[in-house]
Amino acid sequence: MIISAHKEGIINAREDSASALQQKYLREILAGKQKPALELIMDAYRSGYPIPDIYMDVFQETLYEIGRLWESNQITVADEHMGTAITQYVMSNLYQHLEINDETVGKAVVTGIQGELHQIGANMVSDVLEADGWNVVFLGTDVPPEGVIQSIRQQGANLLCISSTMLFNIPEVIKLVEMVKYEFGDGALRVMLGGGAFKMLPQLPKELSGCPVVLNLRETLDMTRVISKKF
Amino acid sequence: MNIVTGDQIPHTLRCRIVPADDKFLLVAEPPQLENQSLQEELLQLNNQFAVLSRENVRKGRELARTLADLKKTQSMLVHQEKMASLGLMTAGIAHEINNPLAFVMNNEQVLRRDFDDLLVFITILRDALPEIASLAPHIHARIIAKAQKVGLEYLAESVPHKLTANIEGLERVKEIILDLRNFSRLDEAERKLCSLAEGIESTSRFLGPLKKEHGVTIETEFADLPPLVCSPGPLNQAISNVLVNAIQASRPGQIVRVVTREEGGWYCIEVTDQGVGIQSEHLSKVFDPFFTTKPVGSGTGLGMSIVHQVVEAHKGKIEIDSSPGMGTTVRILLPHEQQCAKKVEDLI
Repeated sequence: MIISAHKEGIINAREDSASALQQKYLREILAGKQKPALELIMDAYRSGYPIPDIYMDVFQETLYEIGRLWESNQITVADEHMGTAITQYVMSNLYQHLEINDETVGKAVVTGIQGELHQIGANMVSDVLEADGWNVVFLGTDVPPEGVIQSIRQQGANLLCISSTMLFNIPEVIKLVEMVKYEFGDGALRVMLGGGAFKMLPQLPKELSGCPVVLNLRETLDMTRVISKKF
Repeated sequence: MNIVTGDQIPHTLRCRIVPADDKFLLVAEPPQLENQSLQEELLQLNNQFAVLSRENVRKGRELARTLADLKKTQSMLVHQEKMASLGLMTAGIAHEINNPLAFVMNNEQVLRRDFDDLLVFITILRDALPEIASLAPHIHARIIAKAQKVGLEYLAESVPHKLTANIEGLERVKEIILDLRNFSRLDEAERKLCSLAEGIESTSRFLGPLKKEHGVTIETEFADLPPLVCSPGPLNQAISNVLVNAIQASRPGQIVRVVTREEGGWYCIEVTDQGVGIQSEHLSKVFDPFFTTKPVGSGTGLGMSIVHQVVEAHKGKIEIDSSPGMGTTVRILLPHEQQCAKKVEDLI
């Protein structure tokens, strides 16, 4: 099976280059080198690396790695914040190059929970969904539930993505989901949950039952593609 | 040292190991509260900046889209205005020319008929010449002299030719006037439920002599589409105009393909030839009235204007892909979901 071996070779080569790029990027951001980090990513983009793949292979993996480095006492909270800030800066530059289709598969509102400081995951979800054909409004993490509801109504959204990193924010997630269900019913608007908080939950609270939970960008894309087929 | 407190908040503590008796004591102190709150504030500002920067890019894209739409609408309005003024003008000209044309054509026909009668009379007279010569030689001499002076033989041959040419020329003027009238009155046609495939087939049959003249074959591939609410006369004329161009642009032995299909809420009629193609500098002018690349006298330059007018009256779109030397594809897209559905209801 020469063809399979050849295909496998290509996939391995791609994985190697993705891993090398991710390691280089990690080194640049831990050294606080914002411009070189941006150049590294822009070079990858210009050489044909698709933006959603950069998000999945480089940004997501780097942020996981930063979490592991923090857990093993190799970096501080300040380093973590710096890595996040540089990645947000790189993402905002890369976002300008995102190719947007005129025809959209649906309208989504992506939000964090008010008071949650971790925003980058929801930002990545927004950009990756937009690259996948969704019209996305990203609210950040500082919007009260009333503001989220107003935005859903204004956009005529058919998908709401709620992100929460900290476990202690789950009651706020429940509050928002209940308010949204009260306002929009169970029909047209789908609610999807994601973020680190849901990794730590042994099981989904009954108030959130029926809401799909996604734990990374790949799962997000898979789930939203299933959801969009039902519109 | 990094820790997560009971409320799940991560902290980095500054640590020292201090010897205490025979043991070691780990002394840890939290970062200064002021530092911590500044860090959080910075994080929040970064978050807000990320949201604003993203929204800024989105607004920029929206603005660019709106600007492009605006430009398109503006050029469409200018074009519509131009076409409307031109429509009024051509309707006026067509009307003014049509009336004198009708009596000139009629007179030409009468002249032709009368001249033929005159020729018959002259033939009778010529047959009677020997008799006239014997009965009245001086009258015979006058007739012969006059006949030679006016060149009767030449007149008998050339006048019918000239009258025929005049009538052909007037027929051509009549066709042009008809084109002009069609051009200015296309939106008045009656709408009916029709089969696209049938319309194309009948149009193609009418073009039989032209296909034969150019040695071109028309191949068709029709999707099974439900009937369409349209103005069949103008629509068939538009299809005919596109087909005529495709045939005339082709070389002997080449094929013109006509395909119909459904494309996301639109009926699509696609005509593809393998002919000479359209020069890029001409592409923007193909719908301009009186624009033609055909030799003088071969086309009025109204064909594609009429196509444009008809398609616009059907709320449709036209797309043209062409490369010089490689051929041309003309796609006529007609909507069938909303406005047509309404028209069907009106018809029922």
